[in-house]
Amino acid sequence: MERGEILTKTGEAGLIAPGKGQKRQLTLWVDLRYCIGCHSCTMACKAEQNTPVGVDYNRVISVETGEFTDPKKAPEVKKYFVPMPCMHCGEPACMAACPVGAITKREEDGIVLINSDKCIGCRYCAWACPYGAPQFNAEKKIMQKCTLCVHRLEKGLEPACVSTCIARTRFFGDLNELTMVIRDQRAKKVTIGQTGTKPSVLYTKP
Amino acid sequence: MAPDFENATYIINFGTSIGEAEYPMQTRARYMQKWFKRKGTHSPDVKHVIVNPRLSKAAAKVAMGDQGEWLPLRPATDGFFVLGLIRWIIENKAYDADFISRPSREAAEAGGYKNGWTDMTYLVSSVEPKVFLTGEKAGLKKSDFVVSVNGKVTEWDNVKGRADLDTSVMIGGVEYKTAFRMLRERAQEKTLSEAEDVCDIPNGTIARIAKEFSSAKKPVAEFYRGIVQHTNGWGNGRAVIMLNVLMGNINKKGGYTKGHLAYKGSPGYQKKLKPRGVSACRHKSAYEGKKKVPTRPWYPFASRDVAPEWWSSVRQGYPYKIKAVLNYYNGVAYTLPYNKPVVDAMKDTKAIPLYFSIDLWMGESSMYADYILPDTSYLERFGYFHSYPTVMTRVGALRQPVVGTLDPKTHDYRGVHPDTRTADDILIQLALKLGLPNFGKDGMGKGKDLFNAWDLWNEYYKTKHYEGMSGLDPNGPLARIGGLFENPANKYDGEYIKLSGGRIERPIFTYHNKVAKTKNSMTGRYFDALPTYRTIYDTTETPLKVDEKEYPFQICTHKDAYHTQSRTASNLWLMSIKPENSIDINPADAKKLGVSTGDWVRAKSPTSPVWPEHPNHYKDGWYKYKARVTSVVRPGVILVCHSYGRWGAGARPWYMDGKPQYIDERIGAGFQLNPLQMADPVLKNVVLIDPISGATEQTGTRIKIERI
Repeated sequence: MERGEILTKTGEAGLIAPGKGQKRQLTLWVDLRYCIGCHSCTMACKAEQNTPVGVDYNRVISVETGEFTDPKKAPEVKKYFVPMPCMHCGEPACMAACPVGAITKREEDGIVLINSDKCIGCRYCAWACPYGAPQFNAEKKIMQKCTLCVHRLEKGLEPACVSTCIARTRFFGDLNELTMVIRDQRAKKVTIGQTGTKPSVLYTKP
Repeated sequence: MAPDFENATYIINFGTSIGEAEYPMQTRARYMQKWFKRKGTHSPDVKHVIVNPRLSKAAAKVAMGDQGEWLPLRPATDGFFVLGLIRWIIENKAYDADFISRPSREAAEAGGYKNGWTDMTYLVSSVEPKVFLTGEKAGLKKSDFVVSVNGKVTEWDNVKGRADLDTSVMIGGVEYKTAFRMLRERAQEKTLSEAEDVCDIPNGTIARIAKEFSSAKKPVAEFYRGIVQHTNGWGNGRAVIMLNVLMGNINKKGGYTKGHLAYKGSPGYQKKLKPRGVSACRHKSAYEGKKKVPTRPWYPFASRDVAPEWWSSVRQGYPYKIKAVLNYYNGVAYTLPYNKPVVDAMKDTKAIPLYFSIDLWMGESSMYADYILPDTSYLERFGYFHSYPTVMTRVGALRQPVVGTLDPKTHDYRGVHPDTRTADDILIQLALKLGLPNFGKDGMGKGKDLFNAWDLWNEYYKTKHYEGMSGLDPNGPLARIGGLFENPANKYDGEYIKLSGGRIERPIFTYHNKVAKTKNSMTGRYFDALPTYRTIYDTTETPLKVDEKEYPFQICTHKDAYHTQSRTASNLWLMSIKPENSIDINPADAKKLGVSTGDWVRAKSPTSPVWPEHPNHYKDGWYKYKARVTSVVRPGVILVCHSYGRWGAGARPWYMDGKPQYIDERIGAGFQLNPLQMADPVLKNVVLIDPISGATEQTGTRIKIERI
């Protein structure tokens, strides 16, 4: 992505109640202050999930704002990096769009998953998702996306992107607990655009 | 050398790319981010200044918060900026006068210093050769250096306190100045505003940065390739070291440090052999010929091969004709700046009658070889890894194969493909066939055979610092942990860095005596042993003259965090992150050229060769690129990322025994900048090279661009 702010300030981080009938929400917090845009998370995810070229559950976009055209003045250009996994939304647009009910949000931890046995690869979810999370796997003819590494969570491990993060700026945990940490650090919470799907992934201002 | 990120409070990075390049990339990136995590991104206690024509990842981070600033200099003008800083610091007496006035260990220790002493008070002749005044010459006892104490000359090791810092003495009608005075006079050759005009930065910047830097609690300046890969790169690097010496921060907590001494092994031998003769690129060799000026330059101070000069010399048959070449781990045809002469040399069967290559794939340099010996990948070999100064405690890592098979009896290792051998094994097999000493039965001493790579590395990890350790034994601690690592908590010794592995008992030299008494072989004139206010010059040290109106842009290059030079182009996962690179142009320049993102442009330098076989050759020495308009690069500079635009390694069709082999066009996507790098106007068939260090000129060549 080139130029133009995409982050919306939401000011002081507030506690978010888990969705309806949901016990809790597991999610990620990416502290954009320290993200260096090295794409290690993208590659760790690829290696963990063994996805084909072109299918990336986690992408990193770099956003450039401002201009620098006069060397005799201090440059005003800014650049920051935003890793984009599945947002595991409170009201997932993909789930609502799926015609066969292949997408579910787990009650116990709020993880949004695609059932590959049910998926017919119609790509409606890809059109519905404002974050571009669902990816079409042309080899298997189904949609796939970030699972928050559920297979690792079952073994008591963190998602692969979190354990590989070079700048150690990616965190995994319960939504409310992570929010408390953000509050403690007095970091400023931001969201990517305003989409109305209640994304659970937390970002703090770069 | 590297800064102690943990405790520094003000760091200036010259031409480094933390977060993308640097050794080791992950560790340095993490240290940088830890630094801000500890202090907070908006803390007034720390500041990070990034000097780079390009908004690197580190520059992007500091530009985002309040933790520093990005200073985009014009490429190849770093010498002006650093000498400007030195001028301000000296004129405002902002340096650590006490530390740099102490001329010996005893004097330094009397002042309470444990990090050595400097040569700043040593007297240097003001007439050529400008070398240190010795005791004999000054009519004193035999002594390497002489200092002045309150106007009276004496031997350096005779001083228990401070010596005169900014002074000169007359001996035998010759003026001898202190190294400090030499530096001061050099720095005062240009005013700050003159330097700022050359660097093309806002007026007042140098004084402001110098003031902030010198008044910070723990200031450090560090440099890497960006400022040393120039014809004046040696001087640029020295200037940054002097900046640190003036601050007295060498090997101090929060200062500038050499880091640890790596753990090393040292396998034995039957018969000690020494390398002899002169290398074809004449590195580490001074010119001693009869002709006044040699055909090609000699590089007595180049510690490693001067690769582009090697190939061009071999083609010319200077200083001798060669019979065969064995090339390994050296993708010169793709990698070297101004790479066409390298390819021409490889094609010239008269200059190189026999050419062998050890390569993992059909690389750009291997495609011209007579014989290719297939290598194994990095996951299929044994080896040694040390670490870099960033890590301050001792490290010695052990590389072991991840895949493949090891014969339990002979320890003969084979990679996944049956026809490949590790490069070590290839060389050992060659040596065995040739019957060279120190190989085979009892090769490394009695009872220590050397038949394969395993034998070598197993012995390596049992000797010197690894004495009595488990070698490559898969159940031993070395192999299981992956190396030998000192407890990282033992970094400091009070206010100083411990320098694990021992301190070197010698002065911290800012003045390079050997360079001062050596002549540039091409001119017969003495080298300047101090940093200079110069930009790009040719091999005779004549300033490069290129019409700035005709060639208004300067080139700059960088690498992406996720690529290892060009070696990862064959990894399609990594290539999918950014499937193609671009020529990055500043919006101000793009407007003048009428170019927008996605347009095709063509570029030409004064020496870019006609090279129809090159993948992005357009015609008549013009090269084509796809443009991207972005403010991450300063006006007047264009940027092309390295690693892209390969034409070997499976990027283009190739055949073995008439059969087409695996290719993927995605490997060769994008563009290469190297043909545009400027050739030396005197030698013509080689890139511009630093006559002292042998470094190549990589950023700063002038080019012109047109929209196609």
